[in-house]
Amino acid sequence: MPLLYERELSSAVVDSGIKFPTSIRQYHARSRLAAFLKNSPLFDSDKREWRDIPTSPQQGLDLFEAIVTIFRAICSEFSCAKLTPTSRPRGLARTRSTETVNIERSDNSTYSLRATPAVIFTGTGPNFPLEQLQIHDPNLFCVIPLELEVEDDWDDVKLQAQVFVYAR
Amino acid sequence: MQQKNRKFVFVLVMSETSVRLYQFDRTGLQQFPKFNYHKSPLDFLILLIGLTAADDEGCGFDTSILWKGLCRYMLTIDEKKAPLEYKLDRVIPSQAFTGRGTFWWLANDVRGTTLIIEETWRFADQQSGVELLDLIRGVDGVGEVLACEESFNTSQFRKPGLANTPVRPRVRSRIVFKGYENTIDKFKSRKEFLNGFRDAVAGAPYTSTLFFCWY
Repeated sequence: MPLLYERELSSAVVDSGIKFPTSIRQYHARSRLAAFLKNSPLFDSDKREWRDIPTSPQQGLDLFEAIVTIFRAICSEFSCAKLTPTSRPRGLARTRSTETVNIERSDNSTYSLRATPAVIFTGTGPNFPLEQLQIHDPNLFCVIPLELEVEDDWDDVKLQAQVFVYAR
Repeated sequence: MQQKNRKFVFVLVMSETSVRLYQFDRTGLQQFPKFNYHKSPLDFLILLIGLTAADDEGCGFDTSILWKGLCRYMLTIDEKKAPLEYKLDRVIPSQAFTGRGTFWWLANDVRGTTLIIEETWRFADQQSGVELLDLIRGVDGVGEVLACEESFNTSQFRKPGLANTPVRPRVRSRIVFKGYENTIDKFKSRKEFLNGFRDAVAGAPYTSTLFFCWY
């Protein structure tokens, strides 16, 4: 018998054919982005690789520090929070300390599906609860879940199921 | 979607070499191609800046449901189609992710009147629930519809041209019903229970026809 997410997703997966949505506007000219890559200590233009990204991580969370450093540098350089009048600063929170906690068991999954992603982009403002409410569920402050995975463990079918749980 | 004010959700997955973006809405999953962010750093920058610079609306939030202080409010319309803000009390959410995703909100208007607001995602090519509910407006035993609003089509969130895929787009429909005291199991007297039961039976032929058309 198909599992819950398999039933829901079986006929509802579409490949977009493009790298990211057209709604992700190009806020800066490619020349400025290229200049950033050329001058930033985070990127090695000769080897064409982001420095400090572990080449052989044991688990996805080993990538956390390097990726957060890159994200923060990019957001700071390009003033992401000020690019549109309604943009708000995004936080980046590490929400899972180990790879094995929060296993979702609700649908008797044969996969070990986690209920919380490795990292979340967080938001503030009227679309999120106030901090004074002391809500401890990080998912309620989540704008975009970010999952960190080891390339060798990257399994498209399994990842579809996993990110489906995060979105749900 | 657990946040109860989402139209869609982006999920980003990264490894030591690759990145891939996923987008979920009520019609399912749209997945974007996986690419190597070392070999395509410009695309990676565009993706990252775009995601972090996008406002809440662009990241999939339904900004008509908002927090003010310790309470949650919904901006929708009243019976005269004028904008109105409702204070939200409780919600009965749908467990399924894809599909109609019906939420029932228990709400109050500015006068303190109790209302029930139903949010659901019907197929865009189906007859509007608003038209169907108009057919039974005023019938005894059927909950009174005060206002209806339709907004958002899932095809708005997706790449143009994907409309020809087997995935049928859905439209978000919001219906404001008059609130009634309590559910039938909370009766205070036998007479009240029998009256409620009688109304449910009397309204059933109309609503069953309606739901047959709708579902």
